[in-house]
Amino acid sequence: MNIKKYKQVRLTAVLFIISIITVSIFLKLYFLTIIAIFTGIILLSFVHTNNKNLIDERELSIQEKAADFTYSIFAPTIGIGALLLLIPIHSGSVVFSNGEFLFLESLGTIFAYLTLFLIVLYSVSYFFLAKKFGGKKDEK
Amino acid sequence: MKNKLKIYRVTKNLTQEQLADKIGVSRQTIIAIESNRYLPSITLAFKIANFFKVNIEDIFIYQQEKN
Repeated sequence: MNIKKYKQVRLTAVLFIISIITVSIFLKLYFLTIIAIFTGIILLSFVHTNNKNLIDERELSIQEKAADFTYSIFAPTIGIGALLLLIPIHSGSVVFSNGEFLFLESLGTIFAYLTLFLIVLYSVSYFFLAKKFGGKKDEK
Repeated sequence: MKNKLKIYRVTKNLTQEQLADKIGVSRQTIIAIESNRYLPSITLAFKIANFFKVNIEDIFIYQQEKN
């Protein structure tokens, strides 16, 4: 299998899974959605592991940059979002007079934990990768 | 970094697609290297040089960055 064929197979698999997920959400068949997601993960990882040498290095470099870019945008956004939702400014608002602001506060808490999880995950993966690709201090 | 990849490819009468297939990268990578938009890894640079049976520095020319 060459790179072109590999990309075509990957794209077909992704489109097929997206269509199944879309249809199952419209039909409210949530079990089918879960099956489709797991099948997609298994199928794509199977295609990926069998064609590891076919992944273009330029594409890998783009993926790295895109991941870095996504993290540097997503982490502050979700962090600031959490902070804004946790500030009790909504309690005085007429719109939230019936106490609905509590839902926003819960959402803020979830966002705050997600931000922490994201930062911890990034730090842990950074630490392991730095250890894997770096030399030790006493190494000659 | 400058490179003479296009010159070597044309000399061998190869299309970008053919060269990409022979080296094992995508055509987009060859386009990006030829137009100096992507700097290949040392492995890929060696692969390219080996394919054309020349030294790396014959294809890739290092230019010191101006401060």
